[in-house]
Amino acid sequence: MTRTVMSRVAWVVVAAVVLVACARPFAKKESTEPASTTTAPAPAPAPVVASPPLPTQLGDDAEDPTQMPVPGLPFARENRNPEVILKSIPKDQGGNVDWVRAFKDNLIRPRESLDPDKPLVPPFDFNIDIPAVGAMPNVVFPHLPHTYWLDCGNCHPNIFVMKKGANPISMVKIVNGEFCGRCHGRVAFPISNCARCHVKPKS
Amino acid sequence: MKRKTGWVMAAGLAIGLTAWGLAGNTVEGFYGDMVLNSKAEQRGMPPVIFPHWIHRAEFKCKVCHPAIFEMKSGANDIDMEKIVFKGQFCGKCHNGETAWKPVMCARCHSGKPGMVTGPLHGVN
Repeated sequence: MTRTVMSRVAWVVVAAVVLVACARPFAKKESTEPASTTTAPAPAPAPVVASPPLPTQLGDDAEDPTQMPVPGLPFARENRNPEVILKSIPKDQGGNVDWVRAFKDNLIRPRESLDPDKPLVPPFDFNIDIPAVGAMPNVVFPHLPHTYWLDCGNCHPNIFVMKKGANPISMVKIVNGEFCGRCHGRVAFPISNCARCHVKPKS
Repeated sequence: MKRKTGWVMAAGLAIGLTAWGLAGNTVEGFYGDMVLNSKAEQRGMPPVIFPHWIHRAEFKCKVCHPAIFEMKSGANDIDMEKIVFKGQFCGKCHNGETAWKPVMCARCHSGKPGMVTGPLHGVN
C-alpha cells in the first residue's frame, strides 16, 4: 500500500519537474518581451496583439535614450529587427547560418556601400581547384559567393597572392588564422564544416 | 531494494530535467560575434561585444573591411574619443544619422570582465 502511494508521489514529482522544465523557456521569453508592454497600461485582452513599433530603417530609431538596456542579453533588442528575425534564415549542415543562401534567396539585402550612389560591382564567377592532402576530396574555391560580400582588395594581394601555386595553404595555417582562416573559423563558416570546401572527390 | 532504485531514478531524472530546463535557455551571442577588450576593462568599462550577425545582414563585408576596420582582432586602435568626436570606426555610422548614437553604454559594453579580445566563442 505504502509502496504504491510512494511511487505515485514520485511520479507526480517527476511530472511537475517535467512541466516546470518545459514551461521555463516560454516564461523566459515572455520576460524578454519589449519594455513597452510593461509601461503601457495593459488594455482588455486584445484579440490581435499589435506589433510593437519596430525599426524599419537603419536610421529610424524608436528607442527611448533615457532608458538603459538590460545588460546581460546584449542582442535582445537588435534581434527584433524585422528584416532579420521575421525571415527564417537558412542553416548549413553545421547548423550555422548559411549567409550565401540567405543572400541568393533574397532573404537579406545587405548594403553595398555607405554611399548609396555607388554602383553595384557584379559578382565574379571563377572557380579554382585546390588539391588536398591524402584522401580528402579536393577543394573547389568559388569566387562567386565571395564576391557577393567582398572586393578583390579584401583578399588580394595581402592574404592570397594572385598567382597559381604561390600560396602555400595548409589546414594548420588556416587554423592559425592565415589564408582562408582569416575569416573562416572566426566570422565566416567554421573550419569544422569540412564538406563545404572539400567537395571534389579524387578520381 | 526495488523501491530504492525507483526513487534514485526519479531523483536523477528530476535533477537532470531541472538542470536542462535551467541551462537550455541562455543566450550567449552568436557565432562570429567579437569581443573588444584591449582598453575597455583597463578604463573601468565592461568589454564590448560586437554583434557581427546583425551587421552582416545589413551590410556586405566590404562596407567596413578593410577601410574602416582592419580584419584582424586587436589591429584597430578604437577608443570612444575617436568614435564620438572624430567619427572614426563605429562612429562612421553610429553618429545619429546612419545609425543610433553611442549614448547608451551598456548597449555595446555588454561583456563580462575577463573576456579576451577576439571571437566570442573562440576559433572553431
